[in-house]
Amino acid sequence: MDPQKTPVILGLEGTAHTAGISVVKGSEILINKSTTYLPTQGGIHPREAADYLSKHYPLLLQEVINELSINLKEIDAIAFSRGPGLGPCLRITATIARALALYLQKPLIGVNHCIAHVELGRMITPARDPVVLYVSGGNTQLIAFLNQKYRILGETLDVAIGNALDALGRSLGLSHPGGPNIEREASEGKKLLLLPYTVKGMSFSFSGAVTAAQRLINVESVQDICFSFQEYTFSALAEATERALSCTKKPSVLLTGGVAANMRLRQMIQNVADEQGVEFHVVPKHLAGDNGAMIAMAGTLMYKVGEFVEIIKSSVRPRWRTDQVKVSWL
Amino acid sequence: MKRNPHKELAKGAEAIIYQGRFLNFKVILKKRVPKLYRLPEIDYRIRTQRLRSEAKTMVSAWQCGVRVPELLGIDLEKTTLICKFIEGDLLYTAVRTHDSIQKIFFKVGEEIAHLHANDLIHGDLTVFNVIVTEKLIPYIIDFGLGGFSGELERKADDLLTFYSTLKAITPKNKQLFENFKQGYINGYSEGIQALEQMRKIMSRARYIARENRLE
Repeated sequence: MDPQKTPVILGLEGTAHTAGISVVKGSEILINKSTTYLPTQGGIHPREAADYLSKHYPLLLQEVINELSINLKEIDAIAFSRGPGLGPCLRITATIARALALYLQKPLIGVNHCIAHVELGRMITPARDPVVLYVSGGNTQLIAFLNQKYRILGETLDVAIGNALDALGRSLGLSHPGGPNIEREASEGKKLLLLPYTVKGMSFSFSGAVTAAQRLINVESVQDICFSFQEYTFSALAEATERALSCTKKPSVLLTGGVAANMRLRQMIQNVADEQGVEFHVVPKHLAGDNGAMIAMAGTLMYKVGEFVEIIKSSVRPRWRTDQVKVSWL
Repeated sequence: MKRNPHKELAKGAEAIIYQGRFLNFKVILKKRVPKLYRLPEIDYRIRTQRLRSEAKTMVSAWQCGVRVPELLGIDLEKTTLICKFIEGDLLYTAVRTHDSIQKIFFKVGEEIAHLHANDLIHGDLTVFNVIVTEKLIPYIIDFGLGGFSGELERKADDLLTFYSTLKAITPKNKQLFENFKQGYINGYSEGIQALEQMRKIMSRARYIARENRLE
């Protein structure tokens, strides 16, 4: 292993409904492919999602091999999303990763999914030492690197914001995922309805707002419900972010995760950054959601410090919290 | 030309802090400023609501003998609160600079014990919301998310917020929280139960294994 050379890392993402495979060299993405399971009704069923992943990984891998500009032999290590996430999905992903590591005779790297979002953001945007607002279907966390670890400064006390948007979207008869549909309806909303606004220090909660909004169905218009829901819940996120910036005095804020695609949320976090006099960065839409490149990029950093895992010890970690990860590369 | 007689001292997440004089006291003016990211309707409601609960909680705490800056007045229209100026360092700074920091944490524990024994909740008990004077007396500030409650859960929330921010700022957090706990148990008859409740809340966080849950 030559520490000066930029390693080529293959990353596998599969914690929930997205299967992603990517090959990166430093911050250069050589290939990044993914496919996402869409439930025909209801939310994500763990077994259905895992079935989807096991069917689609081989096809995806074949596509990657066909289109990759370099030889597979040039890959230096295999990184995979080891957790947190849905157990059945994690196990499928880990199985593919182990098989590839054995076949190519390369080391295996077990990456924390949440931290991968942060590391991709740090690699492809100019954000230095940021407070990260990570908003997705499964997670909503305020993260910053403090005292040797990525600390969770604040997080959702019940459901993730994306999950809340999906649930409300379903009750309103909108298709999955709820976020983009709610954003579209909200743009035509005018009347601000009364909904709960829950901030506890730097943490937040959304399930109360979902219930209150569901009670207004058939009383108020869909547009007004969507508009009000976004305003209250995103304001709570913005306030908690501002508190985190004010406490930590970090020089920038980074917005990532699937819900980072929402323009209203971007605008609010931009306002917070201006108010606090810090830089605002947002991960571009195609890399903000779950993808293989983020796993490969975090894997690159871990590769450089030799943070490998033996296959026999590479069991998945469905409940691996951001603040439990030993960060040896920073 | 408009003249602002007060010197800007600090800018927090939700308010600007000015220093000035009022009734011949050295005072702090805490002005909750409008937030651009919120719609004006939501913004105004939150600012006035927080100002009210801060004033109520502070006065009650003061009446119970908890060390808080004395409230001198509020201006609802300007969402401004006026209280006495406390000379000292934030606990956040004191952690790095003070030799007798363990003793200070014991005293902070006693102060919070007193607050909780009177069913008062702080709501945002971080290391940024305690001022330590030169004589090592802790004063509790910033009651915007505060209120009244007899529930152990709400008290345990305070303890957890305090512990989380402490963990983020110093490797000495275990020892210091131990000192805090001693002061807390010392001053509050249900202190042990509140600390136990804090552990239950921690075990309820996302991604904690079911077998490790305490309830």
